[in-house]
Amino acid sequence: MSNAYIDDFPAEAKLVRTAFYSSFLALALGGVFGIIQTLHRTGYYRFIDSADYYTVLTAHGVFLVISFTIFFLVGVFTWAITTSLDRGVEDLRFTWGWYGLMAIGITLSGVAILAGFTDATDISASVLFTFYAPLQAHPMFYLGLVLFVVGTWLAGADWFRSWWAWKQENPDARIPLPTFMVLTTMLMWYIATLGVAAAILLFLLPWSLGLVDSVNPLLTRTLFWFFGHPVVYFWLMPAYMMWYIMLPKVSGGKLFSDPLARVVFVLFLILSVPTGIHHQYLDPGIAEGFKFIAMTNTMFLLLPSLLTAFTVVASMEHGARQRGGEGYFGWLTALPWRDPVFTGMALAGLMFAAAGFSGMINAGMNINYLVHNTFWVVGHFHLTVGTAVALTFMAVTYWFLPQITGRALWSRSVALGQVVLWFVGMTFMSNAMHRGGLLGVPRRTAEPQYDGFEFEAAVGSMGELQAQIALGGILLTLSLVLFFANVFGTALNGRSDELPANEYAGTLSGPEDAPLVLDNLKLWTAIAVVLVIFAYTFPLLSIVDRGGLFGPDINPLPVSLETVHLLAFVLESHATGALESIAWLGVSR
Amino acid sequence: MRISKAGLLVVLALLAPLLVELRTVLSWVNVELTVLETAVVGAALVVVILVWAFLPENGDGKTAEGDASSEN
Amino acid sequence: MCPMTDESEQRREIGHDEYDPVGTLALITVYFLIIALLWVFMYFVEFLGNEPTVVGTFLTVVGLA
Ligand code: HEM
Ligand SMILES: [Cu+2]
Repeated sequence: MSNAYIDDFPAEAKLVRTAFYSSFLALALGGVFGIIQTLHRTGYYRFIDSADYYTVLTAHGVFLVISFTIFFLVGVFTWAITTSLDRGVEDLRFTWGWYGLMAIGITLSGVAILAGFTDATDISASVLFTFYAPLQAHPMFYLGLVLFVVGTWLAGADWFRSWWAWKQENPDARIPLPTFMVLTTMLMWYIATLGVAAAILLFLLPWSLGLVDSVNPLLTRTLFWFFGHPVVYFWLMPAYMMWYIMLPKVSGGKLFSDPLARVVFVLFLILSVPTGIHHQYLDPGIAEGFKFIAMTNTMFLLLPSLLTAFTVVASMEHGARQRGGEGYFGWLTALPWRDPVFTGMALAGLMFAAAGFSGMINAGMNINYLVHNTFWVVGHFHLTVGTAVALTFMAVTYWFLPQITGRALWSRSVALGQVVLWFVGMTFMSNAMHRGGLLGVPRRTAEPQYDGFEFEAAVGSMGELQAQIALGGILLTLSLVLFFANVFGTALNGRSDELPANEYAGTLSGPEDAPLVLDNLKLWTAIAVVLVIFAYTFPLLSIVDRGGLFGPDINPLPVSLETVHLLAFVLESHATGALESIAWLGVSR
Repeated sequence: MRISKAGLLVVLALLAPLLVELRTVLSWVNVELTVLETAVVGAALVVVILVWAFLPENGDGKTAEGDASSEN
Repeated sequence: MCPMTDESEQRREIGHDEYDPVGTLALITVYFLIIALLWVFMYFVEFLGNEPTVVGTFLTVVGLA
């Protein structure tokens, strides 16, 4: 008998497994829509109606960045809490309860989105994952999101409960690092989700139900981004956790510094939320001063990311030197490249470093104008969430699968090929997306081609960029196929008795070196709340002051065809009226 | 071999971003490559790396040090 | 075949005090140089190569055409 996770915590392993499989289902669906839209917008293969493009893109966005990432997160966090506190969950029924709520929620939202493909019902939710008004979804979509988020809140409560119970028994011990990471991330999540909760419950859901006539689009957008920036850290924190506690171990070394890791997570708790307005640099109706504050906070966020780069690389180097590596760069060859868990995470980290540059461009208020809403942005986040997060998740899956299924991994070589293929595919796709963005190619567009206008590339041509994107998309899809082959192959393997033990990395400098104040979660939460109040009170007040809580009357979209005709008629009569009066002015002069 | 098979795979993968951006860099010095030419340069580089990787080590055994990962 | 890379391939133990992460320093310096170069490059290509952008003290209001 081995010491794998499933041996110590069979019931919890089942939950983690279920969460992972839910996450993989979302990944598969998201991947299918990804390749459809890639081939569609590059013009290589168009079999859907362009009018359905937003339905496809909504499915891609929501399934990947809401269900794939967050189901994986709850699996990893449950593993982290139970392993690092060395105790099972307090009440399994409660644990399955929040999982169930999340599953029901995302199913409702998912069905609402997919229903957009058929005319059999008038249910649809082609509002993209940002659900900006006036795009309007069926109430089922918003309701599902609410249930899903409430599920994550309860999951957080479950983890806090485990920690409190553990603290009773270990009053003087430091919070174990993985638990610390889970708790700080969840505190950030509680603060952040207040924004979407308000946007949905107070405005969008009542509007979609017909209880109120209109909403203030700028207000709901701002509330969305209140959540929308920190949500990127919600995707990233489980990946960071893996870089801090698994990567050093698979490299053959130890985590360089436990205190530094704690500092990083505290900084993310404090700084993630008061930055959301950096997604709204181009929104009219928000004063430049507020945007400037958001930019400053954003630049401070570079600090924890650079600290992470240092700590993680230093931990890998420690492993490499223990394995006999030498020299300034020579140690790189002593790393375990044969291990897909290692190679996947290392390549993910490398792409994240590249994303650091495009992110700095996005973050600068003036340079942002150059790339805002272009394909550049899509290139950027396929490096961050689409690779740094997604590839890390896929890579650690190769470590987790044996732990939670009790079966040996189907094929390590296929796994290695898979992570490398993702890297190559993403290089092609993301590079060309960035370049296209610089030429002004818009994102979220089914047919980015215009009469009498050609995008001009400085090097190469637009056609070459399109080809590069399509090629990248195809390689990524192949990579996904290999990934799922391994997941299925492993599930079909027999039970193995020789699995590695369920362990994470030790530390060179441990928690005893960390100042006690770092563990004072109340203090950090209070500071985070104060910063949020500073950053958001005035912008929100001025938005409400100008546009009203429920805004100027707006027309929800999608509109039926009759409304379009009506709208066109109204516009036309206004326009002719205006023209007539101008003509009249001209005559009377 | 001078490098582990996995190491070789990763080195070849890292060639992708280099090749993709090589065209831009060269265009600054007014060398404009077509896609085909870039592909040819890429293939040539791959061959060079492969030849280097499969060359027998010159018996001094030093380079084998970094080869730890090929053994498992 | 060992299932994971761990202790089995470790050749020596390096403690906190003997460990000097010069390789990390080297890598991060390289990264920093690349970023700095790209930044300079960005200035030339995107600012000198394009029309002025709309950031300014007076003309910030949309619609001044
Ligand atoms: C097979 C792999 C993938 C392909 C081929 C792909 C392709 C694309 C393309 C072409 C777009 C842009 C569509 C447009 O703006 O018109 C897009 C958007 C997007 N992708 Fe992916 N992608 C893939 C994987 C991923 C992954 C793994 C994630 C995240 C975990 C992701 C997240 C997103 C998001 C959030 C958007 C933006 C949606 C929106 O604008 O509302 N993608 N993808
Ligand atoms: Cu952001």
